[in-house]
Amino acid sequence: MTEHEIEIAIARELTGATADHKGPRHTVKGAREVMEAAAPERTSRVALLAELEDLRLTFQDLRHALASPEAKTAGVTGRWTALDVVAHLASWAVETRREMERLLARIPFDYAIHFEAEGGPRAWNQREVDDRAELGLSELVDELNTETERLVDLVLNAPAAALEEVVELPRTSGEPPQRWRMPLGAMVLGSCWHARLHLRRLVGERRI
Amino acid sequence: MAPSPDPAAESVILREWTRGATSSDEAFEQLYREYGPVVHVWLRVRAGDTTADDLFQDVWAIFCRRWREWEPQAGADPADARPVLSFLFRTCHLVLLAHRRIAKARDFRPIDEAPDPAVDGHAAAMAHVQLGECLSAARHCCSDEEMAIVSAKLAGVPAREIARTLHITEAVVDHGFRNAVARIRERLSPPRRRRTR
Repeated sequence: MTEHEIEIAIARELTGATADHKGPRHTVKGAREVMEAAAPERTSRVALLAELEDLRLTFQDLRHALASPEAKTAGVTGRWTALDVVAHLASWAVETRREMERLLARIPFDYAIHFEAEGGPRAWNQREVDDRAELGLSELVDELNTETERLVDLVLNAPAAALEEVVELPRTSGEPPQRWRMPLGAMVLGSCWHARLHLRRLVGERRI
Repeated sequence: MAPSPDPAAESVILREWTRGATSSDEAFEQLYREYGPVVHVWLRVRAGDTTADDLFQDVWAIFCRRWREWEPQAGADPADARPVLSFLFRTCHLVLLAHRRIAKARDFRPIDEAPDPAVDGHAAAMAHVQLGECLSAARHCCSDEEMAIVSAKLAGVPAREIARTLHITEAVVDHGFRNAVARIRERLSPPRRRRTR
């Protein structure tokens, strides 16, 4: 066999295995069941870890996307540059990891971050971005990576029941302020969603 | 026979969804039908049957959530004609890594990753016929990374996405693919007979 024939043979075997998969040995769920199982509160530990690693891949893309001084200082929101947005992501990576640590250790929170009806916790966000004003892209991406790796370790070692347990976060909204409640795993998933929301605008050419 | 999946199917599904001819749920179901089989094969060649079934659910649950955020045009990589296929390849890889990390932390091995008992000829034979001769040879003589490269390239995932996912360069993807195919060919070649005088 030539190497090209080998390629065709493997491709055919992939096709054959695919056809086999569609047959009676197919044991996986239908699309509707998959959609139902995709609810955030039912997220598995494997899926949480994969989502966090996917973020880390995109953090590496940031180094390329924001390599030039112009890219770093480009306005992304009305008040923040691209680098400010990376600082904002770093601040939430730290906060999420801290919350996770305390929740797993069952240490009560002695603070709350209040989300306004529009714009989230503006004062807290701005203070955190200002605290990182002296940091460059490399240091911010390092912080993102380090904090996400620490979060990965927490997810990896958390008891299965803890990931499903509904917890009270040190985040409030509404008047009077109400604490946010959600399963711990859904909190991690929400953190990934928030990071992607910003990363899409920073490394726009990729599907994230 | 063309390698699965159909290269044109994804763009048709995305186009119909973008222009509102199909709903988000219908488009998801079509993508699931189109790519479910190849995702399952990717997982099977790298993780074995039992584990693949479990991880398959995780891959599609992740994609389902991401699909709800998917924007028709913005953010698309113009060089990637099949962004969903690329996304699924990356997610398969990350889900496999996560599974292995958990298994290592728990210090257990799933039953289908454990070595076959020496006396169980049936199990060994079954492992050989699961995916056919070439893929079976590939599983024996390729590293996990090479298996990822071979199965992704032949399913049509762009080299750029394979490289990004595996933290390697596109040149290494091409080199790895050529190397793997050459090794598979070597393994499938009939043994040379020793010359006798």
